[in-house]
Amino acid sequence: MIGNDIVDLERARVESNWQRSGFLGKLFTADEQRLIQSSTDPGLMVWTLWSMKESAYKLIVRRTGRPFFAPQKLVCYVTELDQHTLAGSVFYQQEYTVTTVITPHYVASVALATPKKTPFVHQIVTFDDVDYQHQHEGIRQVLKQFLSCKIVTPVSDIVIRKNDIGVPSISLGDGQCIPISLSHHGHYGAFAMPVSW
Amino acid sequence: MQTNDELITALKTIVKPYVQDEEAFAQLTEQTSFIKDLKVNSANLVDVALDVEEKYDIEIDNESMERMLTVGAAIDIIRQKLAEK
Repeated sequence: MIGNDIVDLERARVESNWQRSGFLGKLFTADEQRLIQSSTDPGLMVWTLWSMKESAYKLIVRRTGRPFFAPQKLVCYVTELDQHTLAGSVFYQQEYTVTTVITPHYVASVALATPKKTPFVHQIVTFDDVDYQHQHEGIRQVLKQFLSCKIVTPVSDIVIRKNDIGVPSISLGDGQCIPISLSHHGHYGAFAMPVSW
Repeated sequence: MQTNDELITALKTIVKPYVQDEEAFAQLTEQTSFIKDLKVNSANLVDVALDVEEKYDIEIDNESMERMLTVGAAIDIIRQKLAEK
């Protein structure tokens, strides 16, 4: 199973004021807040840790079937961090391995259940239009085209569904089901799926 | 104590700036989910919680926030916290 998340950094600056009183306290543990405050770019660290939590959360909801909103309970650990990538984990009842791509424009995370080293595909898409519906359809179109080439199946045989709690998967014409994770925010979208299923 | 309708109206004013699905917002009921239906960005759900705290001068503890996924749940939490005041 897999979970992903992408944050458009410019959009996040407009949508959220992370310096708002009480904001960090509701999202992050004391250790995470220290990590943010000691970072050379605290805003970037806020959204990097947030995308780690979100990617793990999506995987957890897929597993448990139970949505909840407790960002503080998903605890981030950073193992390696450089300018372009973060390797770490998120702990919630068990460990999830998370890798995050960091760019000046977006941060994008993928979470997998530890210790499984499932090979996965992670693709980022850029949108001109930031309208929600446009992104919603855009990311699905790109994913269908990608899969259509990969498994040589007509796009019309690839159906993306969400279950009643909003967890997406792909159904193929032959009845196969692929767990996928989708995310879009601002000018960027991303999808993640296992290489084999 | 405020009526449910009054609480829903107040909550709508708070949530409106974060809504990304206006159609779902127009048809909002107590069953409406902030994230799934209104497409509120999950980081903005924290702003909803903070706005509610400021408006009603209450504290939404993490345990309450954990279940604050729908309009109805948010109203229950506001009621409960106001009653505890």
